[in-house]
Amino acid sequence: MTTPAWEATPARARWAATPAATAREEAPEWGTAPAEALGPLGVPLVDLLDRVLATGVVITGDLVIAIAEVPLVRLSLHALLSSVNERVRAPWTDSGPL
Amino acid sequence: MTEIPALTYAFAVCRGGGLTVPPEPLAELPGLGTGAPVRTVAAGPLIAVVQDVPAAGYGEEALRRRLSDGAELERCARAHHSVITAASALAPAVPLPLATVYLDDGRVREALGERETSFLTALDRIAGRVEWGVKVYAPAGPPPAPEAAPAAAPGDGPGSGRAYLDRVRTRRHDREQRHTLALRAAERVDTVVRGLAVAARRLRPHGVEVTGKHRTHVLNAAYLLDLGRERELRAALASLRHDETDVQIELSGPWAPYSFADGGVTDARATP
Repeated sequence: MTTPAWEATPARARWAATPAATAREEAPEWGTAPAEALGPLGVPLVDLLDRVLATGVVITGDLVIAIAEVPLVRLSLHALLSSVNERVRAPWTDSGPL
Repeated sequence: MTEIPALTYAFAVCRGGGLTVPPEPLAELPGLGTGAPVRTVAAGPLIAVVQDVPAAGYGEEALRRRLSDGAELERCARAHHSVITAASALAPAVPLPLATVYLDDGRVREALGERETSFLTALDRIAGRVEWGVKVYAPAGPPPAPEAAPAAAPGDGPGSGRAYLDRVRTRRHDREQRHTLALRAAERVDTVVRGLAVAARRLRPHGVEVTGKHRTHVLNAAYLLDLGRERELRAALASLRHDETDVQIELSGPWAPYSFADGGVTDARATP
C-alpha cells in the first residue's frame, strides 16, 4: 500500500493531477448515442493505432503485407514503439520503472 | 478523359443488405482525401467500403513512405477511422487494418469471396455490439526515502554505506510491492469488465514514451459489449475506481469493433 512518504511526494502530486484523476471520478463521456459516439474527434492517436495497426488481420490485401511490417513506422515514430512493435515486451513483464 | 491509374483502398466489410446502395452518408465523406467518393463493392453476400486512391500515392513504396511520416500516419489513421466509424453507424462493419489496398475492385471481390465465411461469422459476432477500451495505470514514481537527508549528514561514518544500501533495498521493496498491487488491481478490473463482455482481448500496454514517466501502463484491454450495457460498464468502473485507489482506470469508446474483427478471444466466463 502507499506510504505516507509517497503521499507527500511531487511524483504523487503529478500522478494525482493527471487527467485520469478526473477520469477516476467519472468516465469521460464519448457520447451517448452509438451512431455519433463511435466517431469522437480527438480519439487519442495511440489508442487508435492500437486498433488500426495492431489488430488481427482478417483479410490480406494486395499491398497490406508490405505495410503490415511497418518497420519504418517504428523507426520514425519512436513514441509509438509500444503500440506497433510486437517484440517490445510489456512493461510489467520486466523490472520496469515502477 | 485521361485514366489515372488507381488502386482500391478498403476500409471495412459489411453484409450486403446492411448498407443501402449507394450509401449516401459514406459518399459525402472525404475518406483519405483523394477526391474520389467513398463507395461500395459488392461481393456475394458481402459488401466492402472502399475508395479509389491514386496508384502513384498509394502504391507499396509510396504507402511505406507515407506511413513512415508521423503526421501522415496520423492523418491516414484518422481518415481510416472516420470511414469505419461512419460505416459502423449504418450497419455492422468489420474494420480492416490501416492500408489494406487492392489492385482493383476485382481483387477486392476475390479477397472477400475467399474469406466469405469468416467475414459472415465476424459480422454475426459484432452485430449489436461495440468495443470499449479499458486502461489501467499505476504510479511510477518511486517515493524518495525520507531519511535521505539525515543519512547524508557528515560524521555518519562507516554506517552511511549500510544505511544507503538499506534505503535502496527499502525503495526497491516498495516499488515491487506497488507493482504487484497494481497488477492485482488490473486483474480485478479485467475480471469485472470481462463479466459484462461477450469477448475480451489484451492489447499491448504502452511504454513510457506514451504514458510519461510518472505512470506505468499495467492493463490495455478491449472488451466487446452488447450495445445496451454501457450504463452497467460505467457503473462497474465507477465502483472499481472507488475501490482501487492505487491505480487509475481509463475508459475509451465506444469503438467500432476493431479488436474483434478476427475472432477476438471469446471468454468462457463472459455472461451471454
